[in-house]
Amino acid sequence: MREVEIAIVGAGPAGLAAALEASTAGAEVVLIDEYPTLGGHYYKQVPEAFRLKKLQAESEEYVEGVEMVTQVKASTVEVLSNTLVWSVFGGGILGLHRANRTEELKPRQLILAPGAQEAPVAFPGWTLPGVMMGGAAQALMVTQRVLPGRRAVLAGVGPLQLKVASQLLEAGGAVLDILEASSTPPVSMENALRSFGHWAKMRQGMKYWLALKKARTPYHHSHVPVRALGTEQLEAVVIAQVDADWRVVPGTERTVEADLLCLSYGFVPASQLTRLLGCRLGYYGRAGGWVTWHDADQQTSIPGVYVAGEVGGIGGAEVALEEGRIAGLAAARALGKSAKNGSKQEAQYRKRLSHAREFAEVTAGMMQLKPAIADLVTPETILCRCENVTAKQVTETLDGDQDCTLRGVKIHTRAGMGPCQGRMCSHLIVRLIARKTGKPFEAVQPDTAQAPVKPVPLRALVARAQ
Amino acid sequence: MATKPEPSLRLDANLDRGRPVQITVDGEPMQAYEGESLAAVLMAAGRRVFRHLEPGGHPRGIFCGMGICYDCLVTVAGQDHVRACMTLVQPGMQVTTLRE
Repeated sequence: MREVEIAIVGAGPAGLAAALEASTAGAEVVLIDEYPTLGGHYYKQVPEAFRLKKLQAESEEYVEGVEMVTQVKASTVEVLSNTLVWSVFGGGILGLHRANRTEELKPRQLILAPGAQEAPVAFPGWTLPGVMMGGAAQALMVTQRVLPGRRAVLAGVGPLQLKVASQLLEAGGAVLDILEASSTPPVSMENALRSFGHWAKMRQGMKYWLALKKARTPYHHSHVPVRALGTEQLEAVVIAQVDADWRVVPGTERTVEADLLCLSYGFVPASQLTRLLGCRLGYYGRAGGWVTWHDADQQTSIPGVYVAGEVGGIGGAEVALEEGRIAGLAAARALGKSAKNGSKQEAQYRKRLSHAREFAEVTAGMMQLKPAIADLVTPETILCRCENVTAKQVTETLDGDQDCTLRGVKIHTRAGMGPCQGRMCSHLIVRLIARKTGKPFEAVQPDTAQAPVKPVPLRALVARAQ
Repeated sequence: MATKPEPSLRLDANLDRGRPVQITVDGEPMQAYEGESLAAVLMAAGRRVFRHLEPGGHPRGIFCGMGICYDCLVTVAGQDHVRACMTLVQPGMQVTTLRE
């Protein structure tokens, strides 16, 4: 089995930053990522076969991504793209799947920077083509340069959808309505005061806001989509007003014809690998739910295993970058390696991290879902997209189960047993359980992680054995 | 390329795509460019329904766009359950949208 000093999983801001710091300190680093292009979902770099005409025409974060990726490629870091970490075995051995084969890698230090997924919200019609996560629309626009729809409605919480909206407008799409579920818009006096001192972020927010003003895009706080209509694909969205607790206000429904509905209801840490390893997790609703605990050096409850970025709590790219740098330095230090000026730089990173975390706290307050979001589901609404399990099947199971567990629902209905392994439905079912029992989200036992964390073809496992 | 009354869904203002490649989708030829994902090729052609899930024949397309939801599954050269959002086109690729 191949051994390496440091393995890093995930090549977004956190993973790239960790790789650069650790390799600069003199460590041997392997950086593993499932996608063909480095940068992850934040930097969203175009495929290698594409050529940008003018880099200056791209967004600030795109250019930052190019710089990070270029530095990593010029470094001693070994990059394994198109490679899935499908399991972590005892002793921190990684199970890799690439080019239709599986292989193992044994790192002495392991940094996990797998990022996050968007939080799903279900309502009738949410499985129709044309209804997609805001991140999916962004991936099409920024990475693939394809307009995901001509007439869009955006829905969700927090500032991200302002960005999605301005990207759609710039790409030539029409943004018909932006729906913010909470009663406080991200760009408000209240949030501006909270953001005091975070000038770059405020400038960015204002830029998006002004683009929307210029396009006269209607922005409705206290609104959600309650139904997506269409036979083969999305044709219209029914929207309604909600009260301060996100309960739909009767009589406020109206229908908007659209071919795209983007959902941006915040993020959930991608904790499959840290759970599989048995790292300690804690519930922190403001940071996306179940987050992987770590110390000031980003080390988890398991010595030699570090986390950086969203998996340790949703905090955004700036937090991820600094955590990645600190994790990279700490992992190298554990091997007895450190860069010249290392401690001076580290102090700088820690200072920037605490500043970035301050702003993350501001956005966290805007992105928390309220329990009544679960009430948008009707009995016929599909909760488990893989296995076509409806809310009715789930609630019937819960009615007959005193303990009301996610596990019980899974066994009785197959919800969560499809290829996505509950990445969508488990969150929805936990919300239904919380709603039914009156328990807080954290009191509901979450899903367990199982290997393979994503489907691996049997022939790949066979190919290894040969 | 097929003529369409509406402007292209490909956003080429600041971009030169990879070289043109031909693929087939359900036996029909479809224009693609090196570097594009199957999901992008289908979306650019206005094809948003990637499969129908039985029972019920529920249409599905792109949802998460990042390889975790497994909704955008298609068949590529006889191999089932290929994520369209994660798979880059290859010249001559034969794609079949699923009904299962």
